[in-house]
Amino acid sequence: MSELERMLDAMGGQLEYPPVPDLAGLVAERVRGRRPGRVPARRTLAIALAALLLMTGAAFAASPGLRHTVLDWLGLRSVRIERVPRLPTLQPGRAGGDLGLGTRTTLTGARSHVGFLLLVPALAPDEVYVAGAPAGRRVTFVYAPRPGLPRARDTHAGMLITQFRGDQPPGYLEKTLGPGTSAEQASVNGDPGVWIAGRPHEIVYRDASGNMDSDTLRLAGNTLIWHHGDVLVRLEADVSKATALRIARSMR
Amino acid sequence: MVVRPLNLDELADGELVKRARRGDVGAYEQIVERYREPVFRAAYLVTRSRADADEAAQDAFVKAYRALGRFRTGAPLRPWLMRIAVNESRNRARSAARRDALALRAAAERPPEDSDQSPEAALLAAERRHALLAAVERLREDDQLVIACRYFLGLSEAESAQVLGWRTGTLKSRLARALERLRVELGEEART
Repeated sequence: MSELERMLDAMGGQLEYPPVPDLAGLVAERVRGRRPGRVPARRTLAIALAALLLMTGAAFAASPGLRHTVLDWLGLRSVRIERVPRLPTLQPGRAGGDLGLGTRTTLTGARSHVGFLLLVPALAPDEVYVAGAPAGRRVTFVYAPRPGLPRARDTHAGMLITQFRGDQPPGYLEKTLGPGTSAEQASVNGDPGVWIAGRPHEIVYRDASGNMDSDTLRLAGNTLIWHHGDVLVRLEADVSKATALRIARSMR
Repeated sequence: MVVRPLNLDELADGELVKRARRGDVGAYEQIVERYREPVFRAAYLVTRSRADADEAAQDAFVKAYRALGRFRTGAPLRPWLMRIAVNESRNRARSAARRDALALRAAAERPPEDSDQSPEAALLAAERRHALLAAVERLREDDQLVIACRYFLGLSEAESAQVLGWRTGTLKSRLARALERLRVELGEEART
């Protein structure tokens, strides 16, 4: 490096700049509600391929060839499942908090709040929550851990059952599967569904504009999702598929 | 039960880009927070106006959001964002009247406590810095930009090439020519 280059290099650390403006909030305000740049078309092929594999009804295991696949499958229109090479590391949770489930209420209170007929399993929930979003509201039943419903590593609950109107925008409920998680078809009293099992996976909710709230991003354990009429039901518990189906089939 | 907040500031750039592509505005905010300084500084070096650099940097981040689909997965994010900011700033600088452009200034360098540098030597060093910056500012725009990227913004040759949209070989030869012209400017400075 010449003497001139050394002087220029040293100058870099001495230049006076105006204070850097706080751009993050302003930019976020401007991009909110807009669609980000679309991903290259080759992903579309992966999506089609993954959908084809799923239609065979076979469970599919994590495969590098199926990364970034997005599935809109079995009429679960508002559910999107994406496979990724790895999930982000989430901070250890603090005990006694909540899962962003909304406001605590009673079963009767929830029934009067929502715009759809709630399904209730034979086993009554310990806690009931109502969230304002999506439109038509979302209801979650929380079950404390007990024999047969072990404490889930990530939610610390025995079981969560969430219901909301299924006529949400496509991709409203998004599940991101990392390696070691499988997804397969399931049927609940004739209703179409999907069983996701293995390692924990991420779930997020999106609003009508397609934005997702990072508060709603968390890890979930084994999950059964199905459509009952226009209601989308999600059952989360560290139980076998058979147990999950038995609980789901008891819901009336 | 537990709350599991996602700690976005711990996520790698690639992970944030992936989330932002899915419409996660929070993830994009984190990208802006991470790179607002180099992006704003690059914009300032081109526009030499605080207000223009502010607007150019903001517009650059909004454009980058819309262009996220074209961002090559795994590529470095910083030079990609800075390139968008430099292009945005150049358009702005060309259309704006440059009368109010600010001259580049170096902060006064304080010698260390135990320095035996005399006040005269310190003054001389300050004058040399002033002369150097004045000479850089007399160069044409491309020469100023390549020097700013490589030295003032501390980018590598590969990063500078990416920011300016040139091949690395082109960057090397243009940088060499810019330095030659700077030497000439400094020579003229010494004679006047």
